[in-house]
Amino acid sequence: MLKTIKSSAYWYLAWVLVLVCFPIPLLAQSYYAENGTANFTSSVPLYEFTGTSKQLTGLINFTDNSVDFYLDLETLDSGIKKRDKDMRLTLETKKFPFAEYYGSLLDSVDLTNLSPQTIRTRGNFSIHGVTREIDVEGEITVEQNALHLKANWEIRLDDFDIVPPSLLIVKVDQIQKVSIDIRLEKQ
Amino acid sequence: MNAIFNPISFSYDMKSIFCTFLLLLVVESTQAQMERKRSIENLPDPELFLSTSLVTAQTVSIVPKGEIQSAISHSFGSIRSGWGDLFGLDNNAAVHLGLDVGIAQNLSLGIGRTSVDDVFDLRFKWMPYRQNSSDSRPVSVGFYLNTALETLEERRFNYSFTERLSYHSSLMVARQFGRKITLQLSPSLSHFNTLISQDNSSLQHTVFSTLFLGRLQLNERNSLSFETVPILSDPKAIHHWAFGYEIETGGHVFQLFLQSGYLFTEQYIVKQTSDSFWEGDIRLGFAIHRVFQLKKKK
Repeated sequence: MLKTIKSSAYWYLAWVLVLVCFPIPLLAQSYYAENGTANFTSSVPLYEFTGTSKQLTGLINFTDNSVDFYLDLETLDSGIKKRDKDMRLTLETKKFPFAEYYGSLLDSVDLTNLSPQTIRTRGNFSIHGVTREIDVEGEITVEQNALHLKANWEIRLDDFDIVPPSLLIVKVDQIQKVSIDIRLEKQ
Repeated sequence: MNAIFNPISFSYDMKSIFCTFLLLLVVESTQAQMERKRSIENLPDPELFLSTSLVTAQTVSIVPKGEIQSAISHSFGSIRSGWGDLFGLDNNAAVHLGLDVGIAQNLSLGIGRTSVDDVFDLRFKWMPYRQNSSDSRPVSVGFYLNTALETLEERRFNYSFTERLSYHSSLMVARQFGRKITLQLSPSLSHFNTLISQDNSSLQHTVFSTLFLGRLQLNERNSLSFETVPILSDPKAIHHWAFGYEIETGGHVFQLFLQSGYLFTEQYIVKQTSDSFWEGDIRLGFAIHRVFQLKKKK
């Protein structure tokens, strides 16, 4: 009996050691940044304007191949304060402060290849309290202890229950272009 | 059959549960989404007024640096004219065109022209102290200066440039109460270099007044507003009143007014208002403000 208990104690100890050490290599394969650039570009007839934020937060984790990005929408700056206010009202940022994308890498990234690589991801994009599954293709470049990611995609405002402001007959186009540019540091 | 407690089996069961629990913790910690953290924790500073002016009076709102605002203001004839003139809509009373530029964070410069008497105005607004959301600055305080040049050809007199000038200056103090109600008091001094007396009565070239403005926010895009201009140096003088409904959408501010004065330059509304709102001398008016980006950010 005593032998069994001793054996169990050693077993626990071994597991604890494994578990304590195990997350270290896992974390070492993740890349993180919170100062990426995100652009949301809208169009009205004959005119295009862009809301830009430099506070995009992102994490790419190669352990589980997950990609996770989010942006506080109140940080978007279109260059005109009244338009920023309009954007916040339209996106109801008090109620839904974040735009988020959480998904998985569909392609593997060769961390030894320093030339730009095209990667595909599939995940859930959420904005204005609505979540839709989308595929996003991006270009990733491996740098010294970092990954430089650029991606762009389009969303339809009505897919996310966003009603853009209109001025008489002038209406904001339903298509919104989203682009991100972020340099993620190795963790 | 009686259940028999087996310490070895218990030990291995507990071991499995323990290990599974820890493994789940590790998997969870590596797969879960990041915690979402707000980048902006503080509330934005209150927007005391939707536009830089109500009907005539300047508000404590200022065109931000790097932006340019165009505004067109229009007042019609008196609604007393009835159906014949479609309650004044057939009578074009005055049009004012304005352009203001934010030249520094708290400084703007503007030019304008009023169709009546062909008056050009050059205005300057400085807002060094602005109410903030934390209430460490409970009021907004600023200064406003306006110089107007009357360019209308006058056949009776040959006015010099200086004689055609008039001035208006205000100290603007405003506060928003509970994010819904804004009140502004603007003690002001107006001066005309030249005045014409019709009946040899004494003329007041310099007039003290207090512009009193208010706004009630109905929701994020709609407001009710008012302005009045009691003349302190001549309490018996008829003074201007106006009530407005404001709509903000798509970077524009639309204002619809019922007003007694029909001019859009402060010193003129102080000095030349002869219609009494409360005796029914009311006219319709509107204004549209639009802000543009002066220089695109890189």
